Amino acid sequence: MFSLIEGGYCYYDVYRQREEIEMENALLIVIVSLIAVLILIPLLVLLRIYLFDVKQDEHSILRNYPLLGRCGIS
Amino acid sequence: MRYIIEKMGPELRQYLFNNNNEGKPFHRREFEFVYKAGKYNDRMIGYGSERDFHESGLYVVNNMFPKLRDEIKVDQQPKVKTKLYKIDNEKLFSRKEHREEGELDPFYLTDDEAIVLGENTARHPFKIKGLIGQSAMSFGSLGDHAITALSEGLGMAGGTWMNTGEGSVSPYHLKGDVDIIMQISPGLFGVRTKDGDFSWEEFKKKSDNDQIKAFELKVAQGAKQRGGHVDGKKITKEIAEIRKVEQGKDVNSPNRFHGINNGKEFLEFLEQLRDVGGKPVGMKIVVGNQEQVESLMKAMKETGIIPDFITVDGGNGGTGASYYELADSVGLPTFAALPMVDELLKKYDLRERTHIIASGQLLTPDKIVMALALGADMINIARGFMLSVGCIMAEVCHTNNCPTGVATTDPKLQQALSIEEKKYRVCNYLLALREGVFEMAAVAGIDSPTKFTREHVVLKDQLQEVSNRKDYSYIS
Repeated sequence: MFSLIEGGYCYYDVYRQREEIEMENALLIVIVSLIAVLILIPLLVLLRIYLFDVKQDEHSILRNYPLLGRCGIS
Repeated sequence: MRYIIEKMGPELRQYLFNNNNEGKPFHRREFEFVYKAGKYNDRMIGYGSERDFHESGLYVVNNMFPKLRDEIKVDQQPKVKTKLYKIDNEKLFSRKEHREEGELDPFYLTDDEAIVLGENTARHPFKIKGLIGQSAMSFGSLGDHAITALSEGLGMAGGTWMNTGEGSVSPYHLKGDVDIIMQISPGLFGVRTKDGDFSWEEFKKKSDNDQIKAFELKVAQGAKQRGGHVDGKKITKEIAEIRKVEQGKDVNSPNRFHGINNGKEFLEFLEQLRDVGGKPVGMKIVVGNQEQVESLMKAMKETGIIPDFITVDGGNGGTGASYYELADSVGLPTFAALPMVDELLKKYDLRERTHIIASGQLLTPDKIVMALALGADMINIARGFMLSVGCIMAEVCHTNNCPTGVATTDPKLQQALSIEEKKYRVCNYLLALREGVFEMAAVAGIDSPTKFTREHVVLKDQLQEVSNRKDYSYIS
């Protein structure tokens, strides 16, 4: 929505436009962060389990097949 | 799809579809027994037996007036220092446990009950204060981690022995302070010249080793009654040196010892080994029928040469690699073979001059007691000890790809097997077995497991009729 007051744009519109951009940016950050969290947290959890499996000495299968070996551990 | 499901079949059956008593060669409850005994030295179960009591089977005879604990002849000194698992919490998705140092009773036989191999025949008799030992398992068939864990665990428990298998004595067998029975097969591994003949020089070297207490000549083993085969890719430089064979080349053992064609020649060779080595010498057989065993007994009687022990391996015994037809259909199972050998030894007045070691699927105290009652003096266990070092019965021993690092020489796969952790499981499992056997002796009304006789076991058939296994009148 354009208005011709003071050479093309009114301050109100400029303000709104900037606000929209900021909101868009914020939304983008939230979405990216959310995606990052959704991917990173499981990855970190898996990494932690992986390291635990490799380091522990109780289950041979887990040492040879970290993570994957958990499917068959009795 | 069919291939994928077929490939996953063993795991699916083992974990999902087989009930607790269905799995072969060992069902889930036997598997669990070994794991629980190894980790916690525990043999408890809840609610009751899952055995099908309508089926026919052997039962141990209890006494109305069992022995009290203080009436049992057992030597409980010195205590065994080990490590045991303690469960911190056990929920569906979180299970925590930790290892603690602990002291266990060793359950040794008393000195007057101890078994002495070669008491009147060898210059260096072998005294044994435990009834249960490790059956033949070669370095090469098992990896160095597994052999070391077994050697150290058995050494901690004491009063037992470790059979090297036909692959000769490796440095790993000697790592723990355990007594060794060295097996000599027709392949003559470890005691052969470059041309494959028997080397008396190498044999003398072996018999001079203080840790090697006895020798066993392998005539046959339960799972394969023929010479063994070792794939060239398994013959590493180290294995080649230990076995005295060429690196990287396939090795096929002959089906029987070269130049030995009958019982008499075999016994003369055995006597020669005993003379040169000064150590007890026994033999390992698989029983086919009565006539075969009887001809051997006759040869013993005629020559006056009696092996210091006879290992009776059941056709149900295990191995790293065998052929389907041999594993399934050749050789009598342990419980059928034992009384036959026992009775024939008695018939020829040889029973007091030798000892019977039984093997073949005897990995729980009740099975051990049945074998003792049916004629055995001692027990050999192989796969039970494999389970105690982490075997999950993946049944790929012949491929060198054992996922738990037990039956493989692959260094990468072996990294999984922690010697420091598994040696305690070996020790705990053996001590749990011994305790169980002593407790069953008390229940049967005898003060020592060495006193089990055929009166202590009965056979109940599907018609619920009971017969005593002491009736072997057909052996006349």
